[in-house]
Amino acid sequence: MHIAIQGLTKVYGGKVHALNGVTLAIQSGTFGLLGPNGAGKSTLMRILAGILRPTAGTLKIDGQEIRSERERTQVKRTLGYLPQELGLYPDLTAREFLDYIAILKGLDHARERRARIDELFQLVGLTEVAGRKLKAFSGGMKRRVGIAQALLNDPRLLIVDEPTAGLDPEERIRFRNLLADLGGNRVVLLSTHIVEDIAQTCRDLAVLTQGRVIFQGTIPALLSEANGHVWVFSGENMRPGGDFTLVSAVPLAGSGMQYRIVGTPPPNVAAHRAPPSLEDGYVWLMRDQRVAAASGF
Amino acid sequence: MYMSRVSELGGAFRAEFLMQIRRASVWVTIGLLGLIIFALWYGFAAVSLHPHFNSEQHIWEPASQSDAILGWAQLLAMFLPLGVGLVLADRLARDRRLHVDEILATQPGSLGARLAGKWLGSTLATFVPVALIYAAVVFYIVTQAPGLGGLALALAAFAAILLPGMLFVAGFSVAIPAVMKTPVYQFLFTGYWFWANLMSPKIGIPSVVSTMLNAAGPWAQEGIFNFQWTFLQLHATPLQGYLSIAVLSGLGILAVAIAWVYLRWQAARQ
Repeated sequence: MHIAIQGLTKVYGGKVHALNGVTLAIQSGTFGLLGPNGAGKSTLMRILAGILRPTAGTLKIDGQEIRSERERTQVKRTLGYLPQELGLYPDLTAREFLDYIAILKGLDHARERRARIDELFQLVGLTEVAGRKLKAFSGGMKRRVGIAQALLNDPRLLIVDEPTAGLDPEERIRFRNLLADLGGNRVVLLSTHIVEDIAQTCRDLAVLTQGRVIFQGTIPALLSEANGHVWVFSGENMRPGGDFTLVSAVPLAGSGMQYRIVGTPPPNVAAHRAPPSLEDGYVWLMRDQRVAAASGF
Repeated sequence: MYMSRVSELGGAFRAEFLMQIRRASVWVTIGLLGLIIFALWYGFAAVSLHPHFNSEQHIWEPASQSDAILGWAQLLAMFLPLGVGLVLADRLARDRRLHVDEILATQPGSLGARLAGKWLGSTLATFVPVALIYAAVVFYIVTQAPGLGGLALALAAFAAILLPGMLFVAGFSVAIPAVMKTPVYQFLFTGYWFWANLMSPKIGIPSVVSTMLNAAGPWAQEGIFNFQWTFLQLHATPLQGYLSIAVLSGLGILAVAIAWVYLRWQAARQ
């Protein structure tokens, strides 16, 4: 599957520019969309999912432009969507809820539908509680029901918006492992502000801020942008000042702190370069944008 | 595609029915209203069914089993649809409140089929406690005043006097909250119910109480069953009785259809 987004713009109420001419090319596999809160990630996800119409720009899936309601409905037949704010009916059991969504996805035959639902409960580890009402489910369990409903129709395009938000570390790891297995011939579009989610599951990514794409490429390419700009040094407990972004401050055994920064280390400090992580790359990119914006570029 | 729409309607119907019938507030609201109405009915009419009845003590004496059944249907039709409308008013808004609307909007299934299923499923589920309350008192009547045809009359009275008003109310209660907040609708609906159905013309305030928009069933009651309504004299014919059933039921369906058009237009504007 290939998704081509060209000049996509979304303006709310004639004033709020959520997306400003976004251009992206997405191939099969797991693709990460990273950016701060309010960057426009969810707006982009909703346009791809057919919930919102763009104000301008084009969206093509496998060469076919998606413009009309009929074309959007066609996309929905092969779409799985896990929204950021996942809504479930609390008074239905997990099985009843999935059965309803499966019918809406076009799985008309009861036997096939039941088999598919059982398969998905197995995949997400909820077989034992399938008959329990959703109001009794924890946040992590609800998220798993959410991914199960998104996979009902074996979608070619799977959009997951902030899937691990609010999950405990164990649930987050479980979710990441699940997502990592889902790539293959489908496009899995993972939108998140949690860098580690992208690092563990994606090969390619784009970084969005203020409705614009500021980076599209592979993770190694993003890391190379930050190469030479990541420093580690130790110091006293007072936070150092300078032209950098502090990424982490870890207390040392005994006294003092170890600082990891992106930018220029303070003078008179024994700093040594460190190989950048994806988080460092992201911080460097955002810092670069702020500097460029401040200088009028 | 047709079979698919039928499946979608069936799926929505089943889900909405299950959710509504499991709501404690439905049973509590309808149950409490039913209890109050039963107390009213019993105070005015039911004791006359008792063997030791003393006619000097009561305002109204039903002449027969059929009068008791029709009187019971009349009282229920005056007040119970109010409860039905109140517990159905949040069905559409609930999808937004629970954020389920976003998942539903990404499904290829038809909005019309989902809306129809929501209306039919949640309405039918709300009718279950209504039917149980109605049936319980009918059972009491036929045991206290045995006679042939009581059950058949009760069924006909439910279908002709109670049901059309509830379908009318159900349609508007599912549809109108698409354009206004649920509590606002519930408040306005309560006022409307008393103004449009229960306000005597003698008060002098213009209202639709004497028209076929009266959802408490007076036209069917007088026209089909020849049973006088409490404070109206409509001189209804059987044809007018059947027409009122069609008008009320049809308007309820029309309200849902208009909501469907509005929601489609709203989705297209997103």
